[in-house]
Amino acid sequence: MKAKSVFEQYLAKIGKLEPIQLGDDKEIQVTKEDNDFLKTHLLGQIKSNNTIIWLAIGMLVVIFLLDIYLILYSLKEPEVIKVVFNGTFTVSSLFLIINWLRKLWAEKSLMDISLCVAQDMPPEQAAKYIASIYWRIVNKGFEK
Amino acid sequence: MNPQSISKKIIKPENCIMAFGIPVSKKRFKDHQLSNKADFAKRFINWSQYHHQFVSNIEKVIPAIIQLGVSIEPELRLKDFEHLFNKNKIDVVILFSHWNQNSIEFDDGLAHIQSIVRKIPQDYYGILDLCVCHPDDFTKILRECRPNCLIRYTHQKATPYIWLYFYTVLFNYLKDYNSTYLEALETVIKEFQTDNKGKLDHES
Repeated sequence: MKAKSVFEQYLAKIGKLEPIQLGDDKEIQVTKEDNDFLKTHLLGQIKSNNTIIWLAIGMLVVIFLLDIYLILYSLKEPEVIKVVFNGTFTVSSLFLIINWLRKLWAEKSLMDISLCVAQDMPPEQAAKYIASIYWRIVNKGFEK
Repeated sequence: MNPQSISKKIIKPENCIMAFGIPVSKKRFKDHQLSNKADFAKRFINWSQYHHQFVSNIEKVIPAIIQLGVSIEPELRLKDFEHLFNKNKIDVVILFSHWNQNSIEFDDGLAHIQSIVRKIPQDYYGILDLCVCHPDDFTKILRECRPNCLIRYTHQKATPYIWLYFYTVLFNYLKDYNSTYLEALETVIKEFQTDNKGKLDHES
């Protein structure tokens, strides 16, 4: 997950990945520069994520058009139509494509919101938000 | 018995009790985050972080420690602290908790060192092992008020998961060898210092 990697770099930079100690801990100061660091890294990832999403959608459109062409071209050959339908429109292949796009879209949404946080929230609040999301991602499936 | 004799006594895991003053369950963690008496849980962003950095290790380590024969007291309250010293066959009380401004955390909140000292019986001749970060003031008072009690503590920052694994090794050592508690500590600390480049430091 790219968002996780960006959050990890940011939290490591501000020292919030270190394990909490059993004694007095000094408060870590987060600055506007840290927000800028997060913003820059998120923008880079959002750009590359958008490219992947557009490529994926483009691929789907191309496959769809190719299928339409093959169907129209082979209207008198039911066997070819059967192969085309089995190859691209079966429930399992549609499920895989939709699931992949859903994950890409969820990641895009998370990064878009995080970008707003980095741009608009005070550094301390932004750090709390990112840490909260990060630990949920890291611990997903392990906690009871 | 006196501090000299307890320091020479062979200790087995069954003679040890390990008590946790900090939360080990999600419910208590959430309660502590909202409580104005607690402190440790508030240093964590959410349960996910606490679980990842501490509780997941507890879940791995505690069953093994119990199997070795050590008694466990999760989420210890201050009012129950004194009962630990009156248990049969218990020579070593290990308090695993958080230190903050002359207070140690218990399940019912931070307790000032004076109130903790009062919970330790005058005639306690065992070992109190404090797994909290640099409780120097507490140990000074304890030495004055409870001279029969042998105290072991760390004066460096303690990372909870490292200490959990440290105690697992320590209890295994006590089970396998006929050793005093202090000898076992020295040996295991040396091993950990080699592995962790001197991260563990202690005094007794």
